[in-house]
Amino acid sequence: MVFSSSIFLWLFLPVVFVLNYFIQPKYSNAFLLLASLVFYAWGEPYLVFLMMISIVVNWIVGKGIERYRSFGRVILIAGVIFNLSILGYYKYAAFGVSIVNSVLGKEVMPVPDIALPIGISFFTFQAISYIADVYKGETGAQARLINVALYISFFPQLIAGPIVKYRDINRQIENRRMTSEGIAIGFRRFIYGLAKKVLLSNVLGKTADTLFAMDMGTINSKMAWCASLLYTFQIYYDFSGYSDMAIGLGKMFGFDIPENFNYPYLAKTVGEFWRKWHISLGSWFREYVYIPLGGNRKGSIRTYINLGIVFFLTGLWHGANYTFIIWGLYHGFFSIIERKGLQKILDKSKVISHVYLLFVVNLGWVIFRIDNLKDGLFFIRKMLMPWMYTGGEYASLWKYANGMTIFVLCCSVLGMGVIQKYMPEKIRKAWKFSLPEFVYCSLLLLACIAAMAGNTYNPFIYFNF
Amino acid sequence: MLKRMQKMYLALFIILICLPRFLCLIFEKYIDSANYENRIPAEKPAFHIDTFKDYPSEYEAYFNDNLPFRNVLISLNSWVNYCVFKSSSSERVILGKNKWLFYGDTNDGNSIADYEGTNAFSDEEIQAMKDVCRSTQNRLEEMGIQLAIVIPPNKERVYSEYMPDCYTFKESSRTDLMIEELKNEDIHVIDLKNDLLNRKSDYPLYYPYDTHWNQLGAYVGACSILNSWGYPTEDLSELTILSAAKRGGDLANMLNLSNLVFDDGAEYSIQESYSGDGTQLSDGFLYFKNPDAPIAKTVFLLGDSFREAMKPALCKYFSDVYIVPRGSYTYTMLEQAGPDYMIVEYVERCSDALIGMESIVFEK
Repeated sequence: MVFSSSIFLWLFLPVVFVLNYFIQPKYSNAFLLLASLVFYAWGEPYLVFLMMISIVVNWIVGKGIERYRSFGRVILIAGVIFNLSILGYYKYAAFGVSIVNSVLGKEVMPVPDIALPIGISFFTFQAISYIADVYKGETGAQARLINVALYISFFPQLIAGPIVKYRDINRQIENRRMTSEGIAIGFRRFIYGLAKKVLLSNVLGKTADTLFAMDMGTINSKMAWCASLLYTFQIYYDFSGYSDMAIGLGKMFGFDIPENFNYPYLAKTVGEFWRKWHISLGSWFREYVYIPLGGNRKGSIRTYINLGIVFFLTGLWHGANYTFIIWGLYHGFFSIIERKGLQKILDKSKVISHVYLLFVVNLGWVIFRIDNLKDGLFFIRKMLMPWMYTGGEYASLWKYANGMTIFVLCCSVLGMGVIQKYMPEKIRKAWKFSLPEFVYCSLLLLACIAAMAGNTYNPFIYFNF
Repeated sequence: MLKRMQKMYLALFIILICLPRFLCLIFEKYIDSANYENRIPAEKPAFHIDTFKDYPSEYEAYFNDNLPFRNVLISLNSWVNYCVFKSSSSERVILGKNKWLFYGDTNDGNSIADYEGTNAFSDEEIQAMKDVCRSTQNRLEEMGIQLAIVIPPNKERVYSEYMPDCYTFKESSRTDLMIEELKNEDIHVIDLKNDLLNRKSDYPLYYPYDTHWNQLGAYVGACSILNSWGYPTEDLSELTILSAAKRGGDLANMLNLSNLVFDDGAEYSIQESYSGDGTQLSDGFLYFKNPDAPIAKTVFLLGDSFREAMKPALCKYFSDVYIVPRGSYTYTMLEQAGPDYMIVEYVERCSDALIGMESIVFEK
């Protein structure tokens, strides 16, 4: 089930919300847990049991760490191995086997066909965050299984984050209220997120997907640039839209989920970009990988190595493919050379640094998006050497884009932070929670609902009875 | 946030998220709930423990087909796309000039590939088609039946002036080349494209909001067939053409705008055409008898949806007409009819299916 589906918007959400609103608070956690399990099982009817097993094991690990402090480190390591084993098996086993076969030059073992459970990367990292925080003494082990289960499986952030640390939410799990203000603020945030996903990301994605699916030989330089720019905004609005919806839904149910995006395309360096993009993931890697490795406290060389490891893992976390690893290391490379002196040069000009960041990130998204490295490099070559790839009709781009695409692209550019940055503070404050904004949100919601209904329309040209 | 604004957002949540299904029940009789999709809506699935893994997707399909205010929302989405952004809400519909609509589906033949000439037949395919057509023609001749293979051109190729400029028109399509090759083998194939192009400035021959030719276009096509067999026909200019209002078409239906934007079409008919109802012999298999027809012969038309508009013209000239869609046809029907002539019709975008013609015609 996804937030931008009719069944979520018109069945799951109103039923869960209304029932949760009227049941006694002491049953709320159990009810939300049940709703979250139904939410997950809707898309993973079998693998929901895997998540439940993961929850139970992590709860036991947390209790074990707290009870047997002297063996805490061993129990923690066992817990982390358990979590990473599940993640490794379901997400990386096939990739690993294909690497082994490739290195040995023959099929030593068949590549397994393992279905990837939705959201496994997110809930596994949340589970590790929980047991690590218990070990570090940041929080006590939760006595109630239901509370740990709710933390790990809470439906707003279960399948696409943000990755919430247990200590950031444990008090709210034990004590919270649904208030009219929270519901209103949350619903407003949810509408913005839904609009980002349905009205911006999905529209841009249609054209981007078509262009990326074309035969590499038929794409010229202009089409390559169009595809990469469209995807740059598609992924931003898809991911940040989903985070907005998660934060909004959390707020409606009485939870304050931390922010996950902060206008990342306004950043001036790659380092700054990663403090604004998928903030919860960067925070997780910083706290549980970078700092334990020594962070920047052990000299420059060690710092760069640690950064390399973090970005390697960041890439790998996103997917089991060389393209994701290269993408991660690509960002790591720029992060390192910025520390080595590039940042000082970039600091001299805001314009140049903004252009630099967008250029680097945009090219990076091509590697992220493409299925194999060879095509990705060919694609980037077309972008960087336009004089060599001028073939094809530029007008043919209009086969894949239309007035709606152009309008949405313009809105996307403005909405990436340009309006927010340059709008006077006075107007921004007057707009927020104002009547005109309410009308605007109402229209956005109606447009989203109409677009979602439109997506269910599947006519046949001939009678198909 | 002000209390008043809080209440307004809460009211918005209740009205647009919680209440639509109830509101839909209350206003049921005022809401358009007709089925414009040419398919049976998904049924509500029963939950069985054996097939529970399919239940979510089946239920979701049912839920989507029964959304509250569904047609209204779909029309609203399409209307905004079309009227505000000049965009098509369906990937299968291309917006042409002067409000013309064209077919962009690549899974039901590929009219755009035909239009741009990006889908050539290989030499092996051409040869296979020649063999199939020659064999079918010969076998039918042995039965005393004269065959005519008819390939109505795609609307995009007849009315290319209304196609968007971003598509590059190639004068000669793969079907044109295939027809030439078949003619060179003395296979009786009718090239309708030039006849239609020559008459389109005098009469509208295709529906602007539909993929099909209208009765006037089909009449031109039917006359080409009859002329090829040596039968004289009356030109359209000698006939009385009637027009009536027509809403939408299959392409307009794909946008769900048949009643909103594309409701100003016209249906043309020929007053002198045969207008009898005919007899349904079996599913889709129709028989028409016209004792006043000038040609006292029997014709059997096997085709796709383009066959329907040909009925009035064929019935005007032939005393006995059998018409059947390809999906319902069996060889027994041909034996039962015992026609003098057989017309096998494939619309241009599906002309590659010609390769299976013999097995279809003679399948028992």
